[in-house]
Amino acid sequence: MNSLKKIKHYKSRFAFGLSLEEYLDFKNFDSFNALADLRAQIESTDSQPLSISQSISPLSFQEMKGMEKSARRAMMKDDRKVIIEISGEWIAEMTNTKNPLREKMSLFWHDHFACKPRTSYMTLSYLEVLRENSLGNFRNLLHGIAKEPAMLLYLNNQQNRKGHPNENFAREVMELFTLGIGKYSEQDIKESARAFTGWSVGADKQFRLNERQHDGGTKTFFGESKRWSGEEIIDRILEEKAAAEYVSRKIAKYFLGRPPSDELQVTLTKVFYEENYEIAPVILAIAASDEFWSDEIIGQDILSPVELLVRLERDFHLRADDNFYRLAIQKSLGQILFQPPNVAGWPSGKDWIDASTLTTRLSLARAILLNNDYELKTKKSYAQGEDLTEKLSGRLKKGLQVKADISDVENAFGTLSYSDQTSHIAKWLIPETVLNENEMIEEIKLLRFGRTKGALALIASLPEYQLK
Amino acid sequence: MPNRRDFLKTTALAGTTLMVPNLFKFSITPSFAGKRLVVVQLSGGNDWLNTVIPYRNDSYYKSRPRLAISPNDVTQLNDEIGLHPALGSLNQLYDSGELTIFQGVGYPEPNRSHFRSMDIWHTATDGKSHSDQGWLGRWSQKSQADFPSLEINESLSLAMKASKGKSLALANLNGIKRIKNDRVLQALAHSEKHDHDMASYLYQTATRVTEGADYLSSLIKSNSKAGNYPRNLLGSDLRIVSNLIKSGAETRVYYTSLSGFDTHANQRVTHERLLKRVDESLLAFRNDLKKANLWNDTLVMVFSEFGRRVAQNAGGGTDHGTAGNLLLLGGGLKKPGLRGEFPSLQNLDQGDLIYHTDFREIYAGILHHWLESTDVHEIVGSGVGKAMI
Repeated sequence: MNSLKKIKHYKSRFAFGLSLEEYLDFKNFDSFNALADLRAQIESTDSQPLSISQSISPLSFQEMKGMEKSARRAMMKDDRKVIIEISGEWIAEMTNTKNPLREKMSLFWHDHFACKPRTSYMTLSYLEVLRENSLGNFRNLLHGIAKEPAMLLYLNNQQNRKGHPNENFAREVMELFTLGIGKYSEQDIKESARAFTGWSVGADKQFRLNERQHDGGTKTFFGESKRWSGEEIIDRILEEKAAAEYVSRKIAKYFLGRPPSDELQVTLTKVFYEENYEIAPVILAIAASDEFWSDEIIGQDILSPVELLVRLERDFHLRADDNFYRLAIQKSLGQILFQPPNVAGWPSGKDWIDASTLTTRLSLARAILLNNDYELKTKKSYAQGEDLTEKLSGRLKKGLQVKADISDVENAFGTLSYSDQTSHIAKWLIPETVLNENEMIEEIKLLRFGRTKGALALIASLPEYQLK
Repeated sequence: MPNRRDFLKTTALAGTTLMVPNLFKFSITPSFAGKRLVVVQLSGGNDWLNTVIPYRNDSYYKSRPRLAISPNDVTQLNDEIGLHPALGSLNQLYDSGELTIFQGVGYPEPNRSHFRSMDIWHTATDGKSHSDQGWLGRWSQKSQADFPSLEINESLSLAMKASKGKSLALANLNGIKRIKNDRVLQALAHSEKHDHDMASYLYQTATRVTEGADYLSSLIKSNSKAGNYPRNLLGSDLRIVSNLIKSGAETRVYYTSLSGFDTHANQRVTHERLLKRVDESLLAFRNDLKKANLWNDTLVMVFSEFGRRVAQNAGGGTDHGTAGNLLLLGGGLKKPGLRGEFPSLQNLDQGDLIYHTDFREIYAGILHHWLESTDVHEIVGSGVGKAMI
């Protein structure tokens, strides 16, 4: 297998694709290099919180209660703009970071711990727990997320009180975060919900154990009766090997684009469980597996909308005055950061594709590079105050308003013949298993868009560009 | 078999070619009776209590001192129930047997989040499980419908989704034309199939989209301004639907929506304006199809993700609630009029109405009696009764 095929595959799955620089500079590349690169990223400690220009404070609901309704609404509206900025900064970080694995895994955890934070303060707090722990230990991550105000509110744990339990939080912790359906009884849910009573959010928007609403009594969980606390419940769940299996399978599916073979799954479960839920060994085991490097995997998955957006950012060096184009693209492709469709997270693979998302995907590059008359319209949002995209429809009347700068592509290939330019761009951007550059060159010649920009726009309009 | 490059050559040089959309070729299916369903989604949670009004009920007036519609303004349907004064046309349709009003419609353990509750309505699940597939998407997949279901929107609603369903979302007729005239898209859609799984899946989907767009755009005649439609978003969407129906489209399911019903504040004016839009748009649609002799084969279903709280809030609006109404309109209704009891205004669940009719029974009725589906229980779940439509 040639080096280009390998580095492209590796970068498309464990990072956000191969940059032009990497395409021009790579020499020999093998799975050994991939593992070394992963290890370096895992050991790197220079992770920084996102830099957000606006100051973010916990909106005090107490304070807000005293405000006029219109003032309160204006305040919430301004705050949603800050969430859009956080989302934009995160996209920028995914595009520019030296440690793409961290962001790639943070994106995975955002889907795994799907949550729609209500305010910018809670958004940033939730995101930083994901980013800090994304390559660390799953146990710490789970304990952290379980106490994140955004998550407690999203799963209605404010309503989980002694004598009046709300089971939503306890159910999702087991069904979606750790064990998967069928690995616990309804009784386990009822009892563990009691252990999470009083887990709430204080006025400072920090986790707070409300002692008066906490049920400190005896509960029977997984057959054992004692005065279980919430923390003990979480640790007890992780004693189940089923948790190691469920979570490692999901990580493997994320990188492979399909469930792992039984053989690989056995290894992953063992590694995850025996290493006390350290995340890195699972990632390394996936990258070291034969199936990751097989032709049945390469080019057989579809970029998620956020991955596609990051590719466009990087391949075209997008520049804009604000973050609205990022939101608009996410909306039209069906994945908005911090707005998962439900607690189960986003779809994947083929489920990203329907008639309208596909036409948008195949038109976006031309819309951006060639200023095509592409209408990216969105209907008015229906949930006032719950939706980041509520102002999008008015704003989009002026178009996407984003500029591309592809001078690096022009500098690299501009002096070559048109065929050679096309060939290079295709080799750079298209997975090797679906690459037939001679055909693509002919295709693009016939469609006559001319020069480097046209070639780039057309290669990025091919369905193959959607694959990884 | 022409190879991909030859095809591209022809396409690129000759412009758009006339392809026979073989996916949409006419085929005679025994169950096809020309009946179609048009869904109108009122997004945001319509205040059904101020739409279908218990104008003799003291609790109604006590709970809503600022918002209740006075008995003198209500258009009376009978001694107890009346319609909002903005719904004059619906009142006429009620009198002529072209309107069914289901009362007390909801589902168990109601969820008051827009998104979650809408998901439940879209997927017809029991509210505990999640699904990526909508009830109409599943219908399209199960019935192997030959013609694409069509949503007038920029993206497909969950209700219409299914992995093998043939649903299209198009924001307007320009969307159809844009796909038809996009020579890159057309060239890609008509290029030779790949043997690579995922790539060929994308190419096949592109083919389906362009064929669907070709099929629909070939039907659309120049009469696109026909019909006396009001100038609002629902009116213009329903005009597109009626254009396609009148042009002979054999699409059986259409989906439209109108948003803005999340009336937490200053509801009186906003809600009246919205109901007026619904009323005028539906009347225009009905008149248009009636004139074309197509109204008897058309069923319109109007729903919202929830009703609103019985008591008004401090801001002159209402908060998220639970049970509400569901409306059916059409010329072929077997059992028009008011259906079911008005839910009690005394016996409430956390200030909200308690449902007695599960919306899935109405879905099941529509699937069975109207779309003549044989997979009703696989679509909405076993054990669900079928309401007469």
